[in-house]
Amino acid sequence: MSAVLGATTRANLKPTIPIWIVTILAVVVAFAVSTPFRTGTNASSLLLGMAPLLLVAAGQGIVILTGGIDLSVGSVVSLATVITASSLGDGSGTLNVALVVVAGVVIGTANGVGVAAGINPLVMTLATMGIVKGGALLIMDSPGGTVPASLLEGLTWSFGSVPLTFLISLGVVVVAWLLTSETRFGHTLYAVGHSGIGARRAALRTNRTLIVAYALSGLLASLGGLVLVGRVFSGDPLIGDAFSLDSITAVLLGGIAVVGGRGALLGIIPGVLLLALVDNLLNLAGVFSYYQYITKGMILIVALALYNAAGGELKIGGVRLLPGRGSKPDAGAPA
Amino acid sequence: MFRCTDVSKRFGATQAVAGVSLEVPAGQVLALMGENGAGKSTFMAMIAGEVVPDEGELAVDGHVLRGTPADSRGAGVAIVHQELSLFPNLTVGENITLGRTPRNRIGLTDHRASKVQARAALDRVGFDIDPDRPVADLGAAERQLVEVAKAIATTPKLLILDEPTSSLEQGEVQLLHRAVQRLTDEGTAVVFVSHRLDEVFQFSDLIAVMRTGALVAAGPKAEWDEDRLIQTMVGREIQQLYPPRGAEAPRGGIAALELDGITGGGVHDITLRVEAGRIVGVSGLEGHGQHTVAELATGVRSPDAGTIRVAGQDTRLRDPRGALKAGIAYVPPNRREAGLFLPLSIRDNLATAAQRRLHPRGVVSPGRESRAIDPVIERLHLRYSSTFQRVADLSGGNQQKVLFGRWLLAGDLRVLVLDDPTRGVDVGARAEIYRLLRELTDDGMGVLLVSTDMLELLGLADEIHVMYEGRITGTVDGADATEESIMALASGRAAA
Repeated sequence: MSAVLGATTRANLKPTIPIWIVTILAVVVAFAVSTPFRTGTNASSLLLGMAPLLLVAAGQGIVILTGGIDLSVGSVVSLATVITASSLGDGSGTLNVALVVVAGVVIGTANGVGVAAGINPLVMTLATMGIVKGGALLIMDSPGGTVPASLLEGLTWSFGSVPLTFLISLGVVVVAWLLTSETRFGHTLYAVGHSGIGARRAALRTNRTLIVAYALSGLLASLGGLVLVGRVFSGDPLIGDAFSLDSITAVLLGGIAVVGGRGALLGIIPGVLLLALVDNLLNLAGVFSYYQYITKGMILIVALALYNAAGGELKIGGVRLLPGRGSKPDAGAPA
Repeated sequence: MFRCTDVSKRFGATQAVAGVSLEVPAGQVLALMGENGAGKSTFMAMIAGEVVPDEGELAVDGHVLRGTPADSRGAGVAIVHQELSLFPNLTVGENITLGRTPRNRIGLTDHRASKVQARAALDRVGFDIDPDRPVADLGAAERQLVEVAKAIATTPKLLILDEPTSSLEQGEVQLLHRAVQRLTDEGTAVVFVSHRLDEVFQFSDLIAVMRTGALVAAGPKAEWDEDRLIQTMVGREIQQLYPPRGAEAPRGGIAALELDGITGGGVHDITLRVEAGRIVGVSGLEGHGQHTVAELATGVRSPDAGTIRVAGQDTRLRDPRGALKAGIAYVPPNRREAGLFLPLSIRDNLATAAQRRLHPRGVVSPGRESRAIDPVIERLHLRYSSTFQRVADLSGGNQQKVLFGRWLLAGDLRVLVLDDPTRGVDVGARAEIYRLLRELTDDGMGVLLVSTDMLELLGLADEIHVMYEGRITGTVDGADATEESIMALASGRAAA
């Protein structure tokens, strides 16, 4: 094992073990108690629903590892569905896919260039979020359009109950995890995430790393939109809005530190699965859908508290709730 | 060989570096000396490519530096920064090979080759540590050695050491010394900055002194002795680094601060008294619990057992805020991270602890603030261009003075607890800080001074407690103590 994965890679995987366990337990329990959960159609719809968020969250995770954030992914997802459902070229869908890829990379690169030039990531991606959303609405002002038949066939292909797009998305997350943890680019990414100034001082290619990170986020978001069409069969200029925040939630659930430089992209898999399970189970139980938001919000807070407890110690109002590994006294300014 | 000609740099109103020309031949060590604020840091930042000079030219082996970190590194410049620049979220090995990690055929990290490289670099320093250990788990001295290993992993043409020994013990300093010697034998030129004079004479071949941005003197080591060096740096004679101890301060009576059998955070059974008017020192080698004592005395940490008494009253210090209410102020060791608000102005930093006193109605009155702050600034002998100047732009010694000034303003203090207040502070500013501390005790304050600098305690403290492995192994009178007697206690060789 030690020759295969680096020490930091292993160290970053360790904190994700609890979320894997919780998620797997949740699946087992759901499987045991819920008859509708066991059906093939449900499994298929659960996995199909996960595919877009897996892709978008993988990109978001890369950006968050640099200590940044990408708010524009939601708009990029929408734009991608709109492009996919437009009548273009010979109708085979090749041109649609090519345009989706190009749009994602271009928007992401623009974000990266802005951030590398010193614009705050929140501000930069907030701006592109608006611009891209407007663009998508200009192309298609209401849900509709027709998806090229051959393309749709590919997007909805499945092996039994397991959709092809789910498998591909899963593969993409694994590749992205290797890219961020087992390559030179990855080490630089973590270094930048810990301290951009430090990385610059160490003569690392800080700007290039940032640009590539945001470009990947843009690309993965647009591919997420493409995959999403396999579930909704049409373009929708507003469908992606929820993805911005959902992808951040999934990344944080997966144990990636919001300040950057810590965590493993692989943690996104249980993170996304847990979110999908909440939706799926509450739907099956016939609970009013607004409760899904409340449940997900509460899960996020509990999960982050547990991650904190694993690293330092969990304290609320000076009362220690959980003992930490090493006590880090807060040596802040005694004012 | 490193050469710079007529290099200048100005930041706003401050001429940081003024027309410096300098040459370091291959294989030679130049000690660059000067007080904090003399322009050494800016000068070295220019070599590192982090600051572009306004005028002049720097060249390494004929390659003219273009003023980017990547270009400087490409030209063969390696730097060990004063503020450590390792990434704690990566391992020792990953830090050493960062940016040039060996790869296998499909582009993934080749961990075996990577470890071999890291180990080779560590061997050159003679530092035995597992390359797989996360840097986050290392202590300051270990990090410093890793930093050095990283810098010399590729034999640099020019090595810059910015106070490389500030957190090292004697044995580790020797490791560093030998590593540098090996490099100079291979033809590396070295620029070395330190405030420890003995080291400067031990390490270097050439000595150059900067003052207010200009190079005031340079020459082979043989031309220098300690007195001349200090005089050149300060530009005036320092009659006395340490102020005279006051008249025998009254002992007994009620102590301003008393720790009684305090245990917790790795220290055991600490009992000491800080009486008004006295400076009580806590000495020990790095890592023997003296920092914890400072934290326990100021509410940063809570003790597991024992009693703290403030002016005779049993007191529980919940947090630094509670300690301040009881009249105990804390100056933490790492001023950049844990004490000052670097992006804020001198004024704002000074006023933080006294907001309520200065502005009782909650509305800020600039006039009132000035009337309170100006005398304090005067008393501190601050070197600044305006009280609105950002603290980040001040030199280390001046930053430290601002930190003191905060407590001068706060008023109603009984005890000031300081942890390594002069680390990285130059001789001139040191003398002023010492004088200030003595003034405070003369006014009736008690001072608990935790320091790893033994000479400082010998010169300043009225009483010195020496720690070894989390316990006080002995207490000596400040006036009678010697380096030997403290060292014997600090290394656990003797009990007083």
